[in-house]
Order: sequence, then C-alpha cells, then structure tokens
Amino acid sequence: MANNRTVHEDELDQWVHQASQNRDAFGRLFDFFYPQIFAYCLRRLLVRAVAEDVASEIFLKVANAIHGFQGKTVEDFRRWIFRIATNEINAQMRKSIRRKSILETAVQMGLVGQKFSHQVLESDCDLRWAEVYQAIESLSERDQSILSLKFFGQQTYEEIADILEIEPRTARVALSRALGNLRKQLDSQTNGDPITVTKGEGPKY
Amino acid sequence: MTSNPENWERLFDEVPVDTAQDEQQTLDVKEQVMDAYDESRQPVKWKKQLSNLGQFLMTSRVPRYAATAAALIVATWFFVSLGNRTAFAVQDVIDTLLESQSVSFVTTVEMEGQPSISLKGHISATGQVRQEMGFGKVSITDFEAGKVVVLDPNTKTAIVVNLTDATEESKTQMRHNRFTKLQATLREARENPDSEIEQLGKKEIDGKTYQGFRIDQAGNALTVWADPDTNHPFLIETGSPGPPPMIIKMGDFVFDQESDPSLFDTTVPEGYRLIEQETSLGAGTEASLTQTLKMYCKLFDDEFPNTLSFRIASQYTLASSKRRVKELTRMREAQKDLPGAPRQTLNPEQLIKQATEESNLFMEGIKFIMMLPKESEGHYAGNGIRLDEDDNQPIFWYRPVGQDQWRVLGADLKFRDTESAPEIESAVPLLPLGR
Repeated sequence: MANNRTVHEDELDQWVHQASQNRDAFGRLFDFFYPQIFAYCLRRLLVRAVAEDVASEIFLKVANAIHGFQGKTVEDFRRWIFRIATNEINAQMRKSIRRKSILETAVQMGLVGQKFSHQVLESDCDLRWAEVYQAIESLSERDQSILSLKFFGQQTYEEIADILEIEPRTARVALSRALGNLRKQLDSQTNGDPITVTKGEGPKY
Repeated sequence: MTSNPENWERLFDEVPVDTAQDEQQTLDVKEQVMDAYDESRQPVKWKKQLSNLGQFLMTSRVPRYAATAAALIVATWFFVSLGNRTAFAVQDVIDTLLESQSVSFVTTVEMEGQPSISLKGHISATGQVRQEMGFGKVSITDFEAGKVVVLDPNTKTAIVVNLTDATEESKTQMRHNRFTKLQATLREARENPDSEIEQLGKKEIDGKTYQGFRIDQAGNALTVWADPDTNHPFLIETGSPGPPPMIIKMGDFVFDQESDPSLFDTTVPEGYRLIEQETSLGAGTEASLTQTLKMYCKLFDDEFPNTLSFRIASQYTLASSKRRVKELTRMREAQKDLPGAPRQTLNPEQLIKQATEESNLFMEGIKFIMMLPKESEGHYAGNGIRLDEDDNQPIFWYRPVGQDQWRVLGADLKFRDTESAPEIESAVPLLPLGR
C-alpha cells in the first residue's frame, strides 16, 4: 500500500487534485489515510470491531462526497477527513448506552484494566486506562474532540484549529482547558467510586 | 496532576492498543469504499440550501394590511439570511451566481384554496432588494441606508421601517459579501457527506431541456431545474407544509442586468401617508428567545414549534394577524346589537402598527437563534413537546462562546447551566449564519 513508502507532499496533492475524477488517485488516498484514520478511531474507541466499523463509515462518506470536494491540497483533504472522523466518533460516543458498552467491552477484553503510574499524575496514585477513558467520556463533546484530535489523532495545534475552524491560539487554550477538566475529573474519580473492572488484567492488545 | 500537554502526550502514547490494521479487513473496506466511489461517480452538479421561501408570505391575501406589515420584518430577515447562508443551490449555477453582480427573478406562491400570487424580486449590485408584489405594491430594502420601505399606490400609503442596531460590519457583509458567503456555504454543503441529493435527470419545459435535482433538507423539499448549457437556474420549486400548505416557484432569472437606480430609491413619494416603524438588527438574547417561544405557545395551544427558523415567524405572523382580524370582526358584529356604543373599526394603521410591533418582538428570539455562532453548537428538541409538560425536558441548548458550561432551556422556559449537552436523539442542530 502507498503508505509503505515515502510519499512526497507534491504527489499527495496531485492525488487529492485528481481524486474526484480519478479512481486510482482516490484509491491511493485511501491507502495513505486509512491507517491514520483507523488508528485515530481505535485509540479513541478502543474496541477494534467498533473502530473498524467507524473507519469504514468515514471512508464511505468520503467516497460519496469526494466528487464535490473542492480542496486542492493534501492539507485540505486531511482537514476534511479528520473533521468527518471526529464527527463520526462523537456520534458513536454520543449515546450513553453505546459509550458504556464500548468501555465495558474494552474492560472485558482486558484492554484497559491494567494499572499504571505515569509522570502525568505527579503522584503515587495508580490509574487504570478505563478510568482515563471514563473521565474523557464525561467531558463535553468539544473537549473530547480537542483531546481526541491531539492525542489520538496526533494532530498539531494548527491542524486542530483548521479541523475545528478555530484560531490556533484558541486551540491551545481549548486544549489546556480540556486537560484541566480531564484532570479534575480524574481527581474526583480517584477520590470517589472507582470503575468496576469485571475482568482482570489482560494481555496488551 | 499536571496540565502540561507534553506529559499527557507521553501518557497517551502508551494507550494499550495495537493500531496495526488487519490487512484482509482493510482490503474488504477498500473494496466497499471503491464501490461507493464508483456509484457516486455521477458528478453532483447541483447542491443545496434554499432558505424557506415562505417568507414571501408577505403577499398573502389574509389579512392584507396586517400580514403585509408584519411579514415585512420576516422578509427583512429573509434577505439578511440570503446574504449569509442561502440560496439557489446548484454548483455550476452558483458559479454563475457568484460572478453575478445583480439578479432578478419572479416568485409565484400557490396556496391551497387561493389564487396564485406572483412577485418580482431584484437584488442590486450593492445589495439593495426590491420586491414588486402585485397591485403596484412595492417593497425596497436598503441595508446601507438602514431602511425598508413599502409603498402601496392604491391606498397612497408608505410604511417605512428604520433598521436600528446594524453594525458597520454587518452592513459591509450584506453589501459586499453576499455572494462570497453564498459560495462558502455551498462549498461546505457540497463537501458535507451527509448532504442528500436526488438526481431527477432531464425534463423538457417549453421545448427546452433542463437538468433537475431534488434535495430534502430538514423536511423541506427543494427542486431545481437548470439550463445545462448556461448553468442558469430556470425554475426552483419549494414548498411549505403550512398551514396553509403552499408551493413556491422561482423563475425568470436575469443576471447582471443593468439596474435602474430609481428601482431602489427609498424616498417616499409626495402625497403618501407615512407610517413609520423601527426594528432592531441586534442579535437578540436568551430572554428574547424565551419570549418568542412563549408567544408561539400562546397562539398554538401550548405546543412548541417543530423547528426554530424563519418559517415559524411567518407562520406566527399569519396566524396572529388572522386572529386579530377575527377578534375585531367579532367585536364589530357584537357592537351592532348595542345601539349607541362607539363603533370598533378595522383601522389599517392601527393593525399595521400592532402587527409590526408584535412581529418585531417575535423576531427577537429568532434573531438570537440565527446569530448563534457555529461553535455554540445550538440544538433544538422542542418538536412535539408542550409548554410545562416536563420541567426537565430540554428543548434548546447552546454553549456561550468561551464557556465550558451549556445553557439548557427546559419545557418550562427556564434556562439552566449544565456540564454537558443533553443527549436527545431527535435534537436538530441549528445552522449558524456562516459568519
């Protein structure tokens, strides 16, 4: 697939430029972006089957709309597809039942039950990933979007700003605020009721 | 714990998932995606979004004086909206529109049980709007001058609405960026994968072949027939379920015709009786939205509207005007049996004044909705809900710019602060003005 070799930006721009009319160019864009988008979905949604479904849905939407896409560069395309992906992930997580089910499945699969200690905590307190994800899910959709794009989608502030149509400076401030909210939520969780882990620690998936 | 993003970044680098994709699964997805690509390959030439043309209700026959004056305010906002977010909806046609400095067209409104009504609209290169409404009646909207003038040569009456609180920015936007914004909105719509469009193929009208498409958007169907050679729209049809149900057709488009400046002259001719009103172009407040919904519920048996848009303004204006005329008629009938009692008459000026004031008040809440920025993520979920049905039933929510908390309006018409947005499946996102 295209992502297995170095692809120059000029070449990517050319694929984007041709993708609305050229099947091969669109296929190459799929090859290049699918791993990034799938990783983004999986890191946020944890459960592989769910991430695969959502990634598939994202690319189907892109395929249906590419003929009207007016972007000229790979940055335009990246902004577009990450915006669609973020909306799809948010839609997936919007339903509390679905949210709970995803986290429970992840716990049962042994993905997020492990305890860890990290510099980020600046304390001796151990956490489980399940608690981190639960805390993220309790945040507002906007906070979740910013955290997701930054930490799960590996996007820069400038890219986040482009995707969310805000100023880069605002993106920095918004991320800082979202992290503050996440920290508060984790503090309250670690001092309150811990999440029920119904299955013990499992292998790293 | 720290808020240092770098520390968090290191933490999230260790998320316990293996992101390598399953090769076979990826191939399967690619196959499906490429199939979808092939199926959607027919270029989508025609796209989207027309504001609810029900605003042209100003020509409604019922009841003429009051409806005309009150719907004027709605019409004013229709044109504000036109400058910001709407219009004809066809990619190639839009390119034509964008290059156009001026446009004129004819609108026909067909209402159940009533003869059809036609009016001609002109938009000048400088953003003035003129509508010729039949029987010689004309309205001229000039945002730069901050004025809407309605002239009725039959009654020699001039209604002048002075638009207040317009900012320089908004006036500049309305004057210069009408089509640029339209293009931006349409591009966004075109790139929105959720946009649904039905190609209607070709159709012969008056011996010429036109290309058609149909869009269903939030329950509003829009059909466009355009000339494939010139990319000019030939006919745009839309409708409103009412009440009363109606079909609205726009046609006879003329682009870049040299405009006669006198068409947009807002000077009141000599000998006309002047009725002067004021209306604010300010953004509205939470309180004004609450007031608007209260007024609506009062008129429509405590039921919240099924949408929050201009449509309810024209719906409210008509229903309210009808009710006012009905009440006055009943009062006059009753007075027939009371010899010597002062006779209550249907005074047009009084009706216009009352209707305009009421319409202004109602529009304040709609303006609040229309001016909400995109990042506020406004949502409406009042369809099918009754006033005071359940205090905790959210019907509208948004997040003020720069704030973390959400403002949620309940069915008791009280705003509350919440940490997160309500999760209601039927909630409809409110479209921002594309600023």
